[in-house]
Amino acid sequence: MTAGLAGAWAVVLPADAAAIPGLWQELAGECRRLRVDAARTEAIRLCAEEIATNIVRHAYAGRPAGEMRVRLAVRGDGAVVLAFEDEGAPFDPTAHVEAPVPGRAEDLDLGGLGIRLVRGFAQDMRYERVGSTNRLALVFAGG
Amino acid sequence: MQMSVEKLPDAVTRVVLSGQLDIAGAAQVELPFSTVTAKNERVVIDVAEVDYVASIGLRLLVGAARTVSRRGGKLVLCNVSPSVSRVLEISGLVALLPSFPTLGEAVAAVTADAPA
Repeated sequence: MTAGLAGAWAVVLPADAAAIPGLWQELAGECRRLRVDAARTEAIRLCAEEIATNIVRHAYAGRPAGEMRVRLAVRGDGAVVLAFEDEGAPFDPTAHVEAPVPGRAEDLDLGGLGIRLVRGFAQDMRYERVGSTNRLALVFAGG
Repeated sequence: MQMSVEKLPDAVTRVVLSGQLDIAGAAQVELPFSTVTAKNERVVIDVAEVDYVASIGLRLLVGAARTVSRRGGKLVLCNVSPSVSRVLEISGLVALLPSFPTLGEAVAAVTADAPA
């Protein structure tokens, strides 16, 4: 349980919207197996679906269909790490600039809402581009 | 995801959503939901039975709030669960999607005179 993110990926899915409900089924089982508490399980679901949606919509646009790999692991300090990999276009969500939320619904620009939620629910977010692979790790601190 | 609509006194429309407002859920109710919110000016969305909202669900709600507010009306939420409330807070959309603990308070909010 103290391993980092090396080793076999827990889930490999096509980067397709139809795969997203299945991703949550896989992660729910993994959260139960790893005894992740309810609040973090909920945060993990939301973040996983937002990141997966981003990959489905943008990563392989104009490219051949691809896949996403998702893994969940518990670190030695009790934090849960949710990691994503894809071979789509480079995209660094940690560099994403948040649009300000204006005061009136009619003026609102909803761009970046998913990333804003991920930033709010995960305690840490790290991105790296390794060769042709996007690697994103989200950390959900324990306790 | 299911949706039902109830007409209340004072031209208030109560829209009851139940289920999960994720990609699949939002797609299921998008058309009827947008149709109802486009035709009414005092709208209360009752989310007592909604236990999960993703960004796509927030977009649906804000889109409706925008439509209603553009026509001088008001859209609010009621019976928000703690987990949905947390998503609203983190999204920064609390001011745009006001929520009230009870249906009565939500109805009072949409029937109150708009500030000049």
